[in-house]
Amino acid sequence: MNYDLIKTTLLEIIKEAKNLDEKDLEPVFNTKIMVKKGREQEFQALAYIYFEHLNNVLVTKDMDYITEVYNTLSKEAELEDREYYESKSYDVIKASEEDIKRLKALMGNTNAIDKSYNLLVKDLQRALTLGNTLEQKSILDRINKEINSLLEDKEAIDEKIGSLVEIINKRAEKFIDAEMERLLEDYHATKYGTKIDFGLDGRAILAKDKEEYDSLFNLKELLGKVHKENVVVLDDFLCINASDEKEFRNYLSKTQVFNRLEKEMPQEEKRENVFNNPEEELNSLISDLEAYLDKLGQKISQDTGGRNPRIVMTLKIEDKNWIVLEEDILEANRIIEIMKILKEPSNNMVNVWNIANVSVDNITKFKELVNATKYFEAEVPKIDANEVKIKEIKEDLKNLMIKARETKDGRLAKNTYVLEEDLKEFNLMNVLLSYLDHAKTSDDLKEVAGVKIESVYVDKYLETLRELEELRKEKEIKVEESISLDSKSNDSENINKNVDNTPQDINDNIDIGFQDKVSEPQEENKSISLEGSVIPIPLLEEALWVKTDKEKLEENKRRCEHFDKVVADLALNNKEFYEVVSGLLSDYKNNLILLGSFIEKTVNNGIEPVAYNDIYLGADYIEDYKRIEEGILEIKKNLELKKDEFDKKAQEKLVIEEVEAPAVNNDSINESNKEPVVDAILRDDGNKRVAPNESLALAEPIIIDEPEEPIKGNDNRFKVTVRKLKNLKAKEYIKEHRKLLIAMGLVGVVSTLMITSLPEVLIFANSCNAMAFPGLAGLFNTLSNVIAGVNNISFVNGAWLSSTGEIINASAAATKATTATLTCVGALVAIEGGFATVSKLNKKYDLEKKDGAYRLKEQKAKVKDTIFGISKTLRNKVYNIKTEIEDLSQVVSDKIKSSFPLKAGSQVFDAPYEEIHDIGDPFAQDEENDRIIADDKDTQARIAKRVQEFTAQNKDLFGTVGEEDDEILASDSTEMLIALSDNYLDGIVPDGLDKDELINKMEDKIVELQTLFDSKTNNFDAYQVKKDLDRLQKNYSEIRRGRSL
Amino acid sequence: MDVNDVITFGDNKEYLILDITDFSNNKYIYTVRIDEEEIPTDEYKYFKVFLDNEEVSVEEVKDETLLKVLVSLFTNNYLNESKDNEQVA
Repeated sequence: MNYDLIKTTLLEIIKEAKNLDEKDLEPVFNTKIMVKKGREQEFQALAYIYFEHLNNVLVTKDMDYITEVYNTLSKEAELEDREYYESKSYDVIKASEEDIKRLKALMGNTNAIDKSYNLLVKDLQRALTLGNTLEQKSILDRINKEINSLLEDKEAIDEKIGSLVEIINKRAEKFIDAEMERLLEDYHATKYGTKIDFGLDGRAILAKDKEEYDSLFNLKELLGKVHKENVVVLDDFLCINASDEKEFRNYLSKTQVFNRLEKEMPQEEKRENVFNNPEEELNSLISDLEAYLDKLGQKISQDTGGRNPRIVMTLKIEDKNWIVLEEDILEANRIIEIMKILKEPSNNMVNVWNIANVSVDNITKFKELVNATKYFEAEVPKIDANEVKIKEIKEDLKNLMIKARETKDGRLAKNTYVLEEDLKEFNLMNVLLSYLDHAKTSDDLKEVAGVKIESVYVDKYLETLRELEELRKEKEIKVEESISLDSKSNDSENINKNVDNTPQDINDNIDIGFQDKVSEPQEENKSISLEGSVIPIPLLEEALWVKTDKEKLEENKRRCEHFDKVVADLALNNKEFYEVVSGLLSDYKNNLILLGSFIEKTVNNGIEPVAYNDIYLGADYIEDYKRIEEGILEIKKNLELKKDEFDKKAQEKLVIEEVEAPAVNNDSINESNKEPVVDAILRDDGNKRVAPNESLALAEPIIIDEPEEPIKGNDNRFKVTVRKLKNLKAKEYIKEHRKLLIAMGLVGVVSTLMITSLPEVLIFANSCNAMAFPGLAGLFNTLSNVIAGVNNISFVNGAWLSSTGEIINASAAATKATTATLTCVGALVAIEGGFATVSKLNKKYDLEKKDGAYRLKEQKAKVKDTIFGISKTLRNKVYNIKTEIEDLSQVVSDKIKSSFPLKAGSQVFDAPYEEIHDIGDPFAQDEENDRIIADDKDTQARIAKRVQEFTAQNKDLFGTVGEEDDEILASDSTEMLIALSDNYLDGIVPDGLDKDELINKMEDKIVELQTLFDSKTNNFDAYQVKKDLDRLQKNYSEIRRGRSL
Repeated sequence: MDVNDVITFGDNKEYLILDITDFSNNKYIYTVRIDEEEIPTDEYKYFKVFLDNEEVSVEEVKDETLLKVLVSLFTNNYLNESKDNEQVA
């Protein structure tokens, strides 16, 4: 018996019943199983046979074999369906798998291009602030090229995306067609009496398939509408318009095949709480953020295209901070704030945007920070409704810029690409963008005017929207009036399409010149109004700077008001003096107003501010602000001078009056010196009011020179006064020894830092290093890497030795960094070398300025101690470096042999080789290098020549330079004793100097020098020692004879 | 406030300004303490300068990172100055 045929027939009867009306069905013998009328007995008989066969038993009376067979076969039928759909799902996904991968990669590229494009646009904005300079032109040219290149890339990628979308969707469409065809076939295959219906396309189908068929039909329709832009990949098998996604999903869920397909696919929404190990994820994220900050930090050593950007320090986190370009400071500080939040422990954590688990208290702040960073740009979920509006507003902004580009004689508003007349509209649109962007960070959204806005900002959003609409209406009216006037005057000159106040390069690329990241809405007072303009509104740190600036503005206003009062009093009470200083007072007031205007402009122009002292200013304003501050100080100085002059005259007048009329009373003194107002101005800070009628004593010093008790402020600040040097001798001394003084201090602090972190100092120095030695770049790189290696630090931009031992000059940045490294080491060495020369100066100074000899001796001893202390530390450090270098490959040694020692000595420090050699140049002292140098005849010849030149130039120094430390000490002590004994014989005896003590010291020194003289084999050395010995002996004899005292 | 000016604290300690630099929009000075006869001692300090209206106040730089930066900047100034002097000579 063919059991398969029995099973197929049973299945057919089961399926058939599902397509029939109830009235066409009949129950099978004593069961609830319904089959088509007339087939009850057939089903019963077949079920009987099938049951016995399936279970290998004989049917008895009490067995409900009919129900059992029905249930088993029904389940099997369902499974069959499922397998069919699963198989179909797999087929369709598999068919497009590779294409979808390619498409996603291309879309990623497009995003990257968009980001780069936005960054370039920002660069462009900054470049515009540089003024019409060569630097600006060079930057604009570069940006122009890059933008063109990006646009070309984008065009090519868009084309590829379009082709792929077409291929993928055609495949999906074919699949839908096949499914619809199958449903139609099902209808044709059914026997008479089956329930039927009609699909949306009018074709007859089984009634049960109506929903499936219609949904497939709708999906096909939607697929036909897909364009190439703004598409999204849906469930990894087709592409649709982003705006159709919701509708598409609705139809998909109504189909058997796609509903199943959808369930198979991972959904975005299902990615919640994916962090199985939160701690591990957190650490990983924090490391990523630190790496990002490092990357920002590295930008300071990268090629800046001729710019010289400022560098600034970030906030601190766990005693660590980064140094970044000023343009990256906000981003870096936001990342640091995010890291701080991430590190904050809490028992109540919530996952935010699949980025990290964050304490419930910090969610809002975290979201705002994340939304403001470029780093997390892709992670922040967008609000579809808002995106449409944002696109619309950006389009309007673009139109304003195009208008500015095409309007001749139109003045561009500062720091924007729009006309001054459009600035308000521009700002209002930016405000709207702020609210729309900020909505992404809020859970409390309200739908208004087709967008979603955080409920607390709804009123402000609507108000801004209203204001914008009114403004546009007003402008429309003006335009109409203007057209009317134009037509009357028929002035053709007003029509000109060219721009001559905007460089053409910008015009070509300004298409999307808006910022994609806008400031966030402010809690209150959304703007400060200045001549009717409104600014974008910032939150968080931006809000803080606005607050700070507003306070400063208030203070400035108070100062101005106070100043007016003071000046009015002066004019009233001391007209004579007022006339003398009225010009200065007027300048003072103007400068105060100017200071205020810079702060106000910074706030109102909505540009990114830069911290300056205790306020925030637009980068462009800082120089001017500083200049005006200095101007104010200058005016104050002049006021003081005028006051002193006036005081003096008044004093003289008083003396004369006293002589002529001794009976004059004190009142007249007070009256004649009535200029308290000037002091009030000079000490005016806008807060500490000085009573207008306060009278100050004639000889009372100006407050700026008044010594006060140290005032320890919030930041360990101390008030100081500033003055010029008074002592002429000190002036001369400092003038002569300034370089030594500077060098000593630098060596001192560097030597301290060396112990812990000199390498970082050296490597960091590239950012401020102005010197370059490209010819030695490879070697310098090696040195820098060795320094990094010895000190176990990461030197990211360095050049590295390849496995074959070749030196690779990795980048210009590496060259800079390593050059700086050597420069700093060179500085130390040069300073040491410089000591011998300054020692000579000191000696000269000692001899000529006898009264200062004793003090200078002490000073020189300190210099010596410092230098030798540093020398030792430096040499130890360099010894480690040297040891490492010895282990380097033969290639490096050859390179050192051929070029380093002399070049380093002569080019870097520009000091004689011998000098460098003796004071501890790491390589010159290296025996290995000596050997290499000796092998090189040319090098030997050069050294010999340089030594000869040096010796000739420094005859009088020879003997002190290049000696061992103890010899130099001895030599210097000799100089001191000679100077001291010279003074003694001239009758200049410092306090506390005992004749016997001096004689004893001289005797010791004479013995010491005699021994040294005997040991010298070099004639020059011997000559120098002998010279000192003779002189000391002469002085010694005279003092012993009692020539003096 | 210029190089070679002297700043005086309330307790009469005085420092000679050896160099001035701008960093991160702040002004920093590199100083050496001078005695009552205005002769430099071996005490060097780095200060951040605050100009608040007519008042000048300073805060000693102690942060090592900042110190590193300043030393680099002042060293660079020193080298450039030396180089300039040599070129002039």
